[in-house]
Amino acid sequence: MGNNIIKRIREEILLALDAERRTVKKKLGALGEMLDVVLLRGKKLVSEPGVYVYSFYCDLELHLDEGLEILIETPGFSSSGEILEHDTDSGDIFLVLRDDVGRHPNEAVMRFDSTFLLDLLKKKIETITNLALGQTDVLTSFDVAGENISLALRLLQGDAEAGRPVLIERSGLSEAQKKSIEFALGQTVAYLWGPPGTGKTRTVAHLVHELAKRSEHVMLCAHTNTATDNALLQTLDVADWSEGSIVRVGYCSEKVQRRGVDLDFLVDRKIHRTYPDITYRINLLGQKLKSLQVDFPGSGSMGDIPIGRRLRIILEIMKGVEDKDTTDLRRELSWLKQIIESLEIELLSNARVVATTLTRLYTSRLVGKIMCDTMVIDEAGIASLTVSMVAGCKAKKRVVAVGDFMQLPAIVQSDDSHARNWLGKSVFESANCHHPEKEHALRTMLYEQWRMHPGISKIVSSIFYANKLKNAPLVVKTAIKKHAVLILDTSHTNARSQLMRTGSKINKIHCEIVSKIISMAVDEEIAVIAPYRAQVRNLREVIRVGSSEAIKQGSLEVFTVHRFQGRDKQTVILDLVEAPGTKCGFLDEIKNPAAEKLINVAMSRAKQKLILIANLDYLSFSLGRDALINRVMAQARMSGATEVDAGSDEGLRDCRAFMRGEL
Amino acid sequence: MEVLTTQSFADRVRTVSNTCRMQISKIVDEADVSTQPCAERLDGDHLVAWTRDTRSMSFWCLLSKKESSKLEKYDLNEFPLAGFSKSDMLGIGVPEQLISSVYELKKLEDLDSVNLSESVRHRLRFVFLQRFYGLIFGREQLVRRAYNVEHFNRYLHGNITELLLHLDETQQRIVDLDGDGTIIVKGVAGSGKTAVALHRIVKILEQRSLFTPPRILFITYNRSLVSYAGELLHALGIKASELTISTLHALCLKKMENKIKIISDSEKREMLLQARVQVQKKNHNSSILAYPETFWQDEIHLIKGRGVERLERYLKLSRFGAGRALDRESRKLVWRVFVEYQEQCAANQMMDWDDVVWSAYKELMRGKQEGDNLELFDFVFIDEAQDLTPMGLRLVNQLAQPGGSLFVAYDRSQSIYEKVGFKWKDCGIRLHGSRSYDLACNYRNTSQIIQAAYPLLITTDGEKNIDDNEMDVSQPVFSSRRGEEPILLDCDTGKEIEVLCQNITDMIKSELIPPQNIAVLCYPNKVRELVAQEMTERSILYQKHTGKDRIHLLDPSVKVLPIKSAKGLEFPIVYLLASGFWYRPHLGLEEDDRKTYVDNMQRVFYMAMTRAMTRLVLVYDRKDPVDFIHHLLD
Repeated sequence: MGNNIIKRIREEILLALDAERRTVKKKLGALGEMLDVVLLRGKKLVSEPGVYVYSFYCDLELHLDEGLEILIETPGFSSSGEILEHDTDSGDIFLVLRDDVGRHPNEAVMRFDSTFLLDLLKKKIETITNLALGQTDVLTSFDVAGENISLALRLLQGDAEAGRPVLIERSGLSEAQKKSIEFALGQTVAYLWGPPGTGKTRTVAHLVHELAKRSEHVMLCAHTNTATDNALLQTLDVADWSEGSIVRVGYCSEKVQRRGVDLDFLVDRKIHRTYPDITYRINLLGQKLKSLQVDFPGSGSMGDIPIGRRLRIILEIMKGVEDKDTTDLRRELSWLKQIIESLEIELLSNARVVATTLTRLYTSRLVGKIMCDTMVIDEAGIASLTVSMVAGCKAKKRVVAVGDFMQLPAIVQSDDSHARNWLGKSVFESANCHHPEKEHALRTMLYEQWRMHPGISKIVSSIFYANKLKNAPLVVKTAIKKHAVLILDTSHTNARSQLMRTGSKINKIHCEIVSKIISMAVDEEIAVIAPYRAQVRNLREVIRVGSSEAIKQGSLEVFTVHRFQGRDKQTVILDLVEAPGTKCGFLDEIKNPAAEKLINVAMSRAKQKLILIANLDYLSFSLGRDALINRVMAQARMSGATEVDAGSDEGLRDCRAFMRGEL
Repeated sequence: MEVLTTQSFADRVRTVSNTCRMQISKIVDEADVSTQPCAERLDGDHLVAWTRDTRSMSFWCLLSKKESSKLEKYDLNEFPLAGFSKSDMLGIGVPEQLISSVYELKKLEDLDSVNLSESVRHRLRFVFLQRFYGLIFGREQLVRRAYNVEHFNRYLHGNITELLLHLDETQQRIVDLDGDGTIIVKGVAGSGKTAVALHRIVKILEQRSLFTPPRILFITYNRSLVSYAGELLHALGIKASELTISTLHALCLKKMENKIKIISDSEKREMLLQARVQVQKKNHNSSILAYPETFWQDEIHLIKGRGVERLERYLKLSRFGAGRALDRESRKLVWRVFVEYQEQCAANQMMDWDDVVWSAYKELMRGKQEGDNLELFDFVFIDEAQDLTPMGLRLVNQLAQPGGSLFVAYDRSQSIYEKVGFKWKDCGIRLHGSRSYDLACNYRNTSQIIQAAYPLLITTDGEKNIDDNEMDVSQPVFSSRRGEEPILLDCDTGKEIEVLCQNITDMIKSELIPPQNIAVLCYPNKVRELVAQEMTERSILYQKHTGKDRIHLLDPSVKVLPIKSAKGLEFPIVYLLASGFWYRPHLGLEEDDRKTYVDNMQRVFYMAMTRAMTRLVLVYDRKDPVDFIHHLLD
């Protein structure tokens, strides 16, 4: 691999990150490095010493990434922590904090460095490329573990030699899933293409187990904590794993914690075995802190907390006592730190499977120090090239990118062409295996879907998957024998769309129609999807009045497409919003290259019923009869969809019958 | 008629069934003179493609089903009527319970099996025809420049990229040029300037690797050309996000970010008048102040378009070809009016488009000097450069990265708005070391159409064209393609639109013309509404374009466009309404203005006529044909 290529890659990625950094700052209007954001209506969800999970309402258009480090202040309290999840549709933000900040903090100020993650990513890229170019120094070599950049570049370019599949014996898998695993085992670089409902996570779980069985060290990374946990839970269910063979790094859900794979938990168990006096020494530390008149949770309340976490709390507290003489304390602490770190590394290098988020690969020094044989990148379609490159570097033998390039792409804020390339594209695109109709030597496809009613999957398959997506026999058998798709044509209503100041759109008549449909539903889970944030908010307002109970129970959810990626619902109502009054840029595949992906994701969330609310006259007038969305409609008609006029009483009667499964 | 076949075709014909052979001989016998490459499905398994002219006819290929799978994607799997909504169907008169069986129709014959009333079946058959042939020819329309067997074969076998818009040797050479330096392409109408530019873009983008693709800017003249370019690039596999396609004005507005109020035509007129009154009040009475409206508009456009900032420069400015001569004193007066007008605009916080371009230029230069982080482009393409002011060209030139490449395509003879002489160095574009090419062969039109349109160009430009002008009128070389004479349809007063629509209906029915191959160019705007209304009544699938929204070239429907929006576009068949009534200047106009108006209109009419690739149909009131077509009537 030529040094020139690496140099150029570094140069371009750094330009991309700088451009993104500028845009983020501009969008937030930040003057300084740190930024204050006001959070409202706080609620404590989880309360364990050292781990406090809060939800807040945060009116911020810009999406904040998971893993972003923050400081939070409420009247009388303050704590550090990180962002668990930020949902820009509803304004909900979930934080995991190290300290308690009160039960119902009505108002809080969150401080964060908006470009914290970008800066870390930048540093990581610099380190990796320096290493590859032989320009390492003592400081940087500390954070790396012999990164394999040549494999990463193969992953980005898709130019590895295609190997023969390795046949395996395995039960509990469909033919397509088994074949995909066999294919992946035979490659150094493999792209595993998993359209909606094809059992991607399940396949990943079995692949990970198969690799572990072959005594490989596997790293399993996904874009979000939730996705990582899901993949991990399935992996845990595939076989009996001995303690310590699977390790999860980072904050994980309670379900995963209960399985005893949390790194903190494992360290804790080990440390007690190796150093029986550890609890005593820690308590002593606490007492010393107390003697410095620092508020420190008593040993009683600290009892259940893993040592690692406890240490982090103490370190946090130490920051506040820098003015006092703490030399002894610090010596003791650094000793403890070293022990824990060496234990952590030992655990990670002995583990068969290490699971973490992609973000951790460049934020955590610990993860930076380990390598694996095979890297499995789950949801690689939504991970940027740059992040995938960092992941690819971690593998010695093999990289498997799992995902679907026909679903949501990575989010990039900047318009800069470097940023769009390196932060907005996925490895499927850079390796040029993102054309559904074209075969790629390193790509294998999960072609059997288990989620959608055949009437829905037929549309999705023919429009988005070049007819390659087939129904599993079970789906055909269990399908309710009625129509699965309803097109509600609003051409004959007075529906108009309005452009909001933010550039988003609303359509009030469509809101009313959606609300009517929901009132017709007989208890089932419903997702309402609209492509515009303003419309989503509007829909929530209207629906909350009638069906607040359902919203609370989570059987009714209203979001933009992004929130539903990776999930499914019994019934999906897709409100296309577009109507006379504004131009329809969003659905125009020529103007908006992401249109295809968004429509695909929205439609393929539905298991049994799909309702499309659209102004058909307007769509065919302003986009042309052969535009993507109109081909969707034509295909829906051919697949037996019912089409009704939303403006007539008859139409509403048909709609009611449809919702009750009588049509 | 003489029949030419390729050997492989002749071999194949022996293997097909008798019915297929009969169909082929029927194709030979038909008296159709369309020179377009055609294709027809013989039965489920075979497809035949051919071309013909008046004397001979050649068969290109006969393909089995397997081989024609590329085409199949666009027709066989489609259900031509499924794209219509249920309310569309009810509108045509299909009873609700039969709609789903209508959706499933694939062949015209099957229509008879559905139990419909005769009148509904009649309408539906027509809709079906338009739709079906629209689908079959949807992609083929893009191959319209196919000119020989090999060419067409390659298309059928899948290499659509290479063939979308065919390039001849000179054009290919331009496409393949190295990246650096300025390329200037001077071409006659229809010589494929846009095709060269688009292919060059595709080529540049295709060389992409892992690295960030080059930043490309494609500047073109109006919104319909923006969407045209977007649609063609989309068909070539380039996504809209991979480059910037824009008009210059839209780009400037975007760059400025803050909201600017653009002056409207009437406001502009009002302010100009005010400015003149103000100057007059200050005792500068002169006959110049009474010069017609258009003179003032043009002169101010000239000053801003050339970026003249000071009176001294204006006094020295060459006004070659600008019409009226102005002495020194008059120029001083004009300058006063100009200054007054600018002050008026500023007081009202308004700008005209020339100001927008100028201030965008100033802003850019300021940014460059202060070392701001500007988004510049590696490759800048300017299509229809003749319609940019020197200031506009200067701006575009500056948008290119230092060391970036500039591609300028222009055609002086098509210029609608510009009348004044031009020098490249005014725009900061250095010709030194640049490569200049002349595309003299018109591929778009048949020689009959050019011959019919050319006289319009000469009478307009004959007296104004000056030899030492750098941007000279490219003399069109007459096309090597022959076709039919323009069709002149005369009719009674007020019946033009009816006759026009009837003719379109007949043509679609009898010649199986895909509707998207047909464009109706309308002037003035109210005619467009009338045409649309008539078409609705006759079940003609059409798409009405206002000049602002996107035009869907591939959508199977007749395009109804304002005449000016058609600039740069091309259609196999063009209908023009040519009754004199619509093109007459307002009675209120003064003599000089009338002349300018007629001259402009004649240019526009020339442009409209040359949009037609194979057939031009002129519909006019037999008592009142427009003057522009008199030479055709004898």
